Amino acid sequence: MTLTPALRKLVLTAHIACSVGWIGAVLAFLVLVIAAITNSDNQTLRAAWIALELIGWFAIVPLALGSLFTGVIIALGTKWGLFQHYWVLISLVLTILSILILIGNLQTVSTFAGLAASMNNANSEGLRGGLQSEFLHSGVGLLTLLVIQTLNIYKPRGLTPYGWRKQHRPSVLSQPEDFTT
Amino acid sequence: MPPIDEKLDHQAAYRTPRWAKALAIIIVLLVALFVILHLADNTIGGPMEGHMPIVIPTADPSMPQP
Repeated sequence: MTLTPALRKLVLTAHIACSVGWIGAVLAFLVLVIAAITNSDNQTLRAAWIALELIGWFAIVPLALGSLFTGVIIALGTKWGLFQHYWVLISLVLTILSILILIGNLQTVSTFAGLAASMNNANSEGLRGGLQSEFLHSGVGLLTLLVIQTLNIYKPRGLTPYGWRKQHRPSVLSQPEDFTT
Repeated sequence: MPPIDEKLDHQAAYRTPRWAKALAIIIVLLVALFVILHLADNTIGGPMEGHMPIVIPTADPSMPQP
């Protein structure tokens, strides 16, 4: 299955939009967490948890799933393939891991956001304790996304054993061209 | 069918790149660390594990009391 040039550009545009948007949304999440950690105001703390839940479920998750979906289509629709090059394979693994951890962590965020919405200002110390975990999650998540982005831009050489066999068939001897940039 | 020498050359030429090995090791270590921390009930997520606010939602004093 090979994408036509017009369709490939369309999917590539969506892929870049989702991927860059994902990084931006995680950065916004991290900024909110830092703002809540460094601010002693309880109302800011409660508002931050509610905003974190909204950003998580309605910005980060859709963008992450969109990035994964469009990335898989581009890989399968071009000669890069999904399992032939290490940079594609590692990007895929990191993306799937990130999404699984993201969805698991957002359950916790939702619980805290529910508490933040229902509590009064006197009961905020528990909410403050949960922010350290969010700082770690969003910080490591952002670094992971930057690693994926770097892999996708530099496309370091390296065929998987499967890709090696496929590339060295008698009929196919050349490396694929740069189909994703 | 290619001659045996040619097949051996292909096998000898195949190497997993160092950067991929290094990155794979880092990913595995990070995932292991994540799992260990979760299992140890530390502060990295889980449904409220390790940082459950020990508070009981109290009535808002600004609301009319019964």
